[in-house]
Amino acid sequence: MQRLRFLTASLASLLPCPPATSDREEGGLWVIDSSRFLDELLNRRTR
Amino acid sequence: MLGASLALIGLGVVPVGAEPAATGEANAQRPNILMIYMDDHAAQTIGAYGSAFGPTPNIDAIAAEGMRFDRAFCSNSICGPARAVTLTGQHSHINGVRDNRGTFDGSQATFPKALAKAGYETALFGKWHLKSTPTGFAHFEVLRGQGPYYNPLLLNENGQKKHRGYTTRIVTDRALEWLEKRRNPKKPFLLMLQHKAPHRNWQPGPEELGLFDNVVFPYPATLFDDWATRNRGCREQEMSIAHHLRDNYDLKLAAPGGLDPEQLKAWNAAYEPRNQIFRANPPTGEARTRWNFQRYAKDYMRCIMGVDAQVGRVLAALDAAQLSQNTILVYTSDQGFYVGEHGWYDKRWMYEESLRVPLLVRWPGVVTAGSSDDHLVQNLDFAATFCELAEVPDGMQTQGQSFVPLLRNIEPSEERDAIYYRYFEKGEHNVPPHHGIRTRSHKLIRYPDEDFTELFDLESDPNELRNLAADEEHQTLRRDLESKLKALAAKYGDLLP
Repeated sequence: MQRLRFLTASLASLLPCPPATSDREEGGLWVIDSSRFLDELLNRRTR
Repeated sequence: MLGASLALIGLGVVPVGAEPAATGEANAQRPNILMIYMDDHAAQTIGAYGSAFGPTPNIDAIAAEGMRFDRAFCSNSICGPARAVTLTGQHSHINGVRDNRGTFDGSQATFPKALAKAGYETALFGKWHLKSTPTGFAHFEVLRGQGPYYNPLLLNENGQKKHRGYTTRIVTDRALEWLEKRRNPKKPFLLMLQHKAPHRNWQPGPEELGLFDNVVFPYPATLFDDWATRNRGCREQEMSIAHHLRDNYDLKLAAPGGLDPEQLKAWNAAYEPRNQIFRANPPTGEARTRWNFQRYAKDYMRCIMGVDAQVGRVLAALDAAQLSQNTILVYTSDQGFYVGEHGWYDKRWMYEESLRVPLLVRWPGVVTAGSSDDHLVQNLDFAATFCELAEVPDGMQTQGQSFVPLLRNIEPSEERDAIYYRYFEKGEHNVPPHHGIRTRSHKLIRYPDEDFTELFDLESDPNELRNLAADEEHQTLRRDLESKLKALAAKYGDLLP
């Protein structure tokens, strides 16, 4: 559910443009489109 | 400074928290209050508020177990003044801290003093930033001024102590040690845990240095705002992502000072590979703005995630000490912040991103878990709210309104229809002084130096891009809001330029 929430939020804040050339060094995937990364963040819940 | 309550009569000042109550140990059942107070934490970067940068799982847990306020605002979006308003429940022109140059007069009434007098044990850890020595706390350990992100010196009532490590963690360690071992368990407590993060210059902790390395942050829709139709100051400001972030200090093209060899090694391992790519082929123009944004926003969020991890420790500590049930947990910030919106970093303006503050309140057994509230509330209201929660017998003279009824899901007897805002500072980042009001649907801002007015319809234009103040069809609305602004200034006793 939480992942769905962030994907929905991402649509609301969608950007004028996709990742640009200068973004390639950063990995090229929007944070909100990376399921693996969202899981990594959610796993930081320490309680 | 106004020393007598007589002087406050007629300035919108009302006594609060006057519910009858006994004091001291007889009131051991009164709730504890734990306030986590951030510096520059933008609501839009919290998962529970729909952050586009991903979840903040521990902060989000407070929202899931408590109430999220969706229309919470500061009254002067800059650190010292916002903190003084929070403590006193008085607007800046009354409490005396109009800008960051001001020194807080610790002799005036504050809610920590009121709660201490009513039998609470009070303690403060972290960033204070009001220049004068903290008053109203049985114990404090605070940073000097802004304080560093690494290896802080903490000042206490008896002297000072140097610590080694990351400030966000150290401040939490100190607060939890007090909570678990040092406080008087026979008294209810007020614990204020005030982080430096995520204040400029956004230095991540050792655990978050590599976080977000392999993803790209979404760009805000207004990153390339042209500031058309708005005041001249928007074009003359010195807080843009494109032009005003400093290469070494803000963008980390050089390591910061103050790190020990081990910390420096970890820092360079995280930043140098990317810095070398940058130096080999530095982007220009729009691409440079995007690079600046990624570097800045990721560091900002790394600092947030460092706090988030410590919030998890606090929640776990409350559980372990069986304090969760009778502790009201408040998560908020002195003000909001721009994370690329309008092309900016920093705060100060009355636009939504820096006017709005996150406000999450967990109160087991009273607040409905996972609920939200959209009434207009302000940092001006904390003093009144905490005095009511602590059943302070004599109340406290404030200009705010307790939001305890909202926590209890009761419609307030007097609903606020607009909040009042005034930014005084003239200097850093070249943001002009301004003042205004925000209702549930509109915002009116006056820039006296330029003799310029802005009017925004927040429902049709939430990004505040279209100034309607000069539109023929909005003149009646403009006059109504101008009248309301004057009425609120008069109510609070502020003399507008």
